[in-house]
Amino acid sequence: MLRVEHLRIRFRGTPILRDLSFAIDRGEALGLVGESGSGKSMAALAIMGLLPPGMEASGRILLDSEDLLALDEASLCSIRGRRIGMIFQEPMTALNPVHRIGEQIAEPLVLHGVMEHAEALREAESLLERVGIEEPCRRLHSYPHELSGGQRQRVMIAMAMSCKPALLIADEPTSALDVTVQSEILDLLRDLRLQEGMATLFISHDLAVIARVARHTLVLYGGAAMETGDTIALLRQPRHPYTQGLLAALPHGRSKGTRLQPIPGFVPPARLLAEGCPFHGRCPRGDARCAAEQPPLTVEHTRAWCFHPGRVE
Amino acid sequence: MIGRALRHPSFVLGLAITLLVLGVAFLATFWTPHDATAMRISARLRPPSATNWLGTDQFGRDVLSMLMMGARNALLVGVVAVGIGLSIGVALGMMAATREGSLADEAIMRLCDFTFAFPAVLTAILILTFLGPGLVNAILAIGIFNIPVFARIARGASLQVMARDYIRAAQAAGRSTFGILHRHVLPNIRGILIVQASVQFALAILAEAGLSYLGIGTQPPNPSWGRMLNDSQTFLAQAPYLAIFPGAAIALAVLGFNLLGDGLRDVLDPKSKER
Repeated sequence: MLRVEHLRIRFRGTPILRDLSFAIDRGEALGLVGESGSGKSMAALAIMGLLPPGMEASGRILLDSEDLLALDEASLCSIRGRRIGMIFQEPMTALNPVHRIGEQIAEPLVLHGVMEHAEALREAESLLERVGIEEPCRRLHSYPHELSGGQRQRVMIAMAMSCKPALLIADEPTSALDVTVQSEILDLLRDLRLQEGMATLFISHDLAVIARVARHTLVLYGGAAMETGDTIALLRQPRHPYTQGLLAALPHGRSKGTRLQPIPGFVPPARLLAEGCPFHGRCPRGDARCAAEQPPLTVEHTRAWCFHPGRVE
Repeated sequence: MIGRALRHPSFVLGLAITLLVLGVAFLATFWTPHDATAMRISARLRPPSATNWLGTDQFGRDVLSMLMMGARNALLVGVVAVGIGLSIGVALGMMAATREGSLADEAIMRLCDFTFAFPAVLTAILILTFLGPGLVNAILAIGIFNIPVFARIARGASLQVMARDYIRAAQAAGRSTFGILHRHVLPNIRGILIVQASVQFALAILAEAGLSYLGIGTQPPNPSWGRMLNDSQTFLAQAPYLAIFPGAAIALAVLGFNLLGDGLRDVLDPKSKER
C-alpha cells in the first residue's frame, strides 16, 4: 500500500530526517513515535508533498507503487484528499471559521469531482452520522465555533475520510483533547480503519495512544529510526536504550512507590547531530563508536538500530 | 444575520446615512429641483427660501440641486477609486503573501512603502499636473493611492490566515494555491477588507473634495462638494450657508461610510452570532 524507502529530508544541508523506511498494508496501522523535533511530522508532510519551502526530500515514497516524490504539484493535488487523507492536531483551528460544517466536509468530494454539490452534502450528512455526530442534519449547517473540540475532531475525520482514501495520516489527532474524548476518537479511528480497510499512519508522542491503535510501531529520535517492530513486543521488551528510556519515564502499574526515570539531557538541535547515532550523547551505553558511525540494524523480536541493543540497565 | 445587523446601532445609522446619500444621488440622475448648472445672476446669493431650499450661490445656481449632483459625483469617485485600489491591491497583497520573503514579495511591499513615503494629496497633485486636471484623472490618482493600502492589509491578513491549520487541511484535501486563496483566505479576510473599503471610500470622497477645492479635481460646470466649498470662500461673511451645506454633506457622507464599515465588521464576524 504505502512504502517509504530511504526517505531523507534536508533543510539547507542539515539533515532533518535520515534514511527512514517503512511500509503499511491495507487496513494496517503504523504508529510513528517521537518527541517534538524527531522529524515525525516532517515525514508525514513529505508523504503529502507539503514540506515547507527549503526542505528537500529524497528517497522514494510509493503509494500503490507510484512514487509521490517524483510527481508534480498538479498530480499531487489530485492525490491529496482523494487517495491520502490527513487529520491534524488542533481541531480548534483546523476548520475554516467562515464555512459551514457541511460545506467543508463536502469540499473534497466536489473538488475531486467525485460527486455534485447536492449529492456531496447528503454524503456529508451520512459521514457526520458515521463519525458519531448527533443530529447530523442540523449540524451540517453549524459553524465550527458552535462545536466542541471533540466534535470538531470528528468533523475533521469525516472530512479526511470523505473520498475514502487508501491512506489516512493522523498527526497527533488526540493530543489536544480531553482523555475521555481521546479514547472515543481513538475507537472511532480504529473502527473506521477496519471498516474501510485504510492504511493508517498514526503519529504521536504518546506511547499509550500508539499502543491502543497500532499493530506496528516505529520509534524516531533526532530524525533517525531507533527501533521498530510489533507494538506489544516493542513495549514489553524494548531493545533500544532510547525506547527503554522512554518507557522508564512513563508511570505504570509496577512503578508505584518508585521514582520515574527521566532521560538525562535534552534533545540536541538537528545541526549538532553528527554522523553516528543521534541518541549517543544521552545514552547510558553510548561510546566512541556510537558517535562516529551509523549504528547497524540488529534483528531479534524487534528491529533496533544500535551497537549495544538488548540489555536493560 | 440580518436581524443581528438591524440591532447594531452604528450599522443601522451608517446604513441609513449611506442609503440617504445613495438615494439622493440616484434621484439626482432623474430629477433635481432646479437645473444644477443653470445660472441666474438676478437671483444670486439668495438665502434659503421656499423656491431655493438651501439658497443660491454667486451665479444664482440652486445649492440643493448642486449638492444632489455633487453626491453622484462623490459616489462615482468613491466606487471607482476604491474599486481600483481593492482589486489591484488585494491581488498584489495576496500574491505577495503566498510568496512570503521572495523577491516578488519584497518588490511589491517596498513599492508600497515608497508610495506611503509621499503625502497622498501632494502626490495626487503631482500626478494631476502630469495627467492634467479633471475628474477621471483625479479618480485615477486616488485609486492609485488606494492600491498600497489594500495590498498591505491583504498581505498581512492573508499571512495570518495562512498560518492556520485549516489552510494545511485544505492543502491536504488537494486544493491548489489559487483555490485556497479564493475559497479559504479571501472569505476570512473579507471582513477586514470591507471595513477598510468603507474607510477608504470616505477618504476618497474627502480626497476628491480636497482636489476639487484646489481646482484640479472635478472641473466646472460639473458640481462637486469640494469646488462648492472653494467657491464659497469669497462670500463666507455674506452667505455662510454656501460653505455650511457642502461641508455638512461631506461630513455626513464620510461619517455614514465610517459607521457602516464599523457595523459591518461586527456583523460579518460569524463568531459574534447569537446563540
